[in-house]
Amino acid sequence: MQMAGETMNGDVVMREQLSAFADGELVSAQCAQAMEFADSDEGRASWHEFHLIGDVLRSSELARPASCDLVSRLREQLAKEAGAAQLQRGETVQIVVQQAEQIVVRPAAAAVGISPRADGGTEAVEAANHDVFRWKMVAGFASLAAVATIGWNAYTGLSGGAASQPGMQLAAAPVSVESSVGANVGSAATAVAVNVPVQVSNGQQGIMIRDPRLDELLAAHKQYGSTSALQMPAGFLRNATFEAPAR
Amino acid sequence: MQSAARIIHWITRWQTVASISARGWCLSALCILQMGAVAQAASAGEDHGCSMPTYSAEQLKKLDVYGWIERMRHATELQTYSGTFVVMSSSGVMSSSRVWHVCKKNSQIERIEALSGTPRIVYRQNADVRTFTPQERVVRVESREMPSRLPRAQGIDARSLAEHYVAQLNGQERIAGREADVLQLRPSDALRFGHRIWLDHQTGLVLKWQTIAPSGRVLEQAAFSDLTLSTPVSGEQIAAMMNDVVGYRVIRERRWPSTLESSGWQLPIPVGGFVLLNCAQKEKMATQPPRTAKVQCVYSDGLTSISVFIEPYREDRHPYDGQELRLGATHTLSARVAGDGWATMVGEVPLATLRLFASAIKQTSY
Repeated sequence: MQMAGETMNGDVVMREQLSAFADGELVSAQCAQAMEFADSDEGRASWHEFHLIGDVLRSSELARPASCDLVSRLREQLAKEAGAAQLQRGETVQIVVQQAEQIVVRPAAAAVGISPRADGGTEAVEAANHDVFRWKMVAGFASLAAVATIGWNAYTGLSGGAASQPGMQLAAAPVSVESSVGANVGSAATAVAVNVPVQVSNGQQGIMIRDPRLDELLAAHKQYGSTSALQMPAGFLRNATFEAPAR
Repeated sequence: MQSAARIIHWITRWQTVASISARGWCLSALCILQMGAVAQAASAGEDHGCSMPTYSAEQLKKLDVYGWIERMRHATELQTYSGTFVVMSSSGVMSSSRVWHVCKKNSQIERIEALSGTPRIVYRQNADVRTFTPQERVVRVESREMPSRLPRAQGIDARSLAEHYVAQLNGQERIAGREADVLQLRPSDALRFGHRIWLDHQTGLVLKWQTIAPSGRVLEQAAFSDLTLSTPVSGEQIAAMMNDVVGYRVIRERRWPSTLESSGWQLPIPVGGFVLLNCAQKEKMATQPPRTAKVQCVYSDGLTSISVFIEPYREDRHPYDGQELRLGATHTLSARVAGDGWATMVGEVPLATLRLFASAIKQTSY
């Protein structure tokens, strides 16, 4: 919608009004103005544009893929920009020979950034700090740490050594400890012969692997346990409706 | 109901007065039939047994917790309605289902179709429940306790409920196209959750339900997004759908009543207001050594319930560290208890309450 010149403010407003008019959203008082604008040259061009856009969006057969030379031009431009970024850094310290580095670095580069190309492929675009070895180390350690964290969470979350079944479910948030209640009751409770780790979260949606046996017990509770009268309307219905996500 | 009872009363009196000759009995039987027909014509299409008591505005203000629960329960059982029921938990999980409920001549039939997640249709006719899973082509047949038996369980009455919850009417709001009274049920201690319930003003049906933590946070919300006081199909058609098991594998799930003591454990209830409702186990063996059975016991305080699942501890199945989870308003706690038992507690109560229950489990002393 870029229009040249400073006098185009009014025209931008008019184009917007015309667009609203084309969508049928314009209040009647503004219709007259929009009609006037439509009569002008720019108005007619805008009108044609809006309807073309609408038609293309609404029917897929009208949309034709971008022409080949656009794609190749885009590739060239991207290559130029990548090269320019490296030069600008001015920090490129080559520790080892380029070819050898490529092999070592591929996974790290992949971790740092893979961007889809215009043609839909996923060839790795070289990161700006590609040549700086220390950043590759950092990236490598970061990905290793991430994997370790996820693995640890999965290990602690997976109770009972439940075998990985194809239908492994996602659980909702782990427990958020109601700290005030815990403090009050903790002192009152006698020595609990129970060693239970509490997973504290802020109630955000955490993804955990849930024990399928626990699923069964939950279902049994909903069916046979929620029979107190108050629960009956909501509980029985809740039984039928409550589902873990991504089942 | 009153007039029919009176009619029958007079007829029986008349019967005893009349001679005990055959003709006398025949006449009286004919009379009963005629009276019955008259009574039915008088009620003009209203199904006896499905008619609900009506409350005036003053009566509503005077209801206590027990009274509100009764009203809710009556409406849920005796009203005919259909709608879409949506449950949302604070963690963002949302699921919805389509509900049809028909009450006719004191028998209820309902159909609940899960609209989210695995396709599942649950039919219930009185105590007979059938769960259809179309993807697996399996039907699970089981029987559940009729809701009308609770909370008349021993120990749960108006007094105990009033001791632990305070009821307060908080005005009116519009939900699912109907006028609703807003009822706040505040717990008297931090071992229970509070509830905010929107009840249809006209019928007493639960339109929206919020379970609230002691901190005031809404843990779970269940509501009808739309509701009509009729069903798209009749009760007989729902019964026909329920009986159509062609092509399905039928699994009968049996449960046997049981007691904790007979299984080798005991649980003196640590939290006031909760009483034991029942215990059951899925597998029944003629003789079983103590602490080898898997038992589910349900405790309730009239408003909310806790299920305690106890089974023998096995190192390969149970990690020594148990776990605690919250799903919406439901907390679960699994832990090793009483030496060689493994308990899993599930309930719509704060975690502290579950911990109290877990630490109260003991082995029975022989």
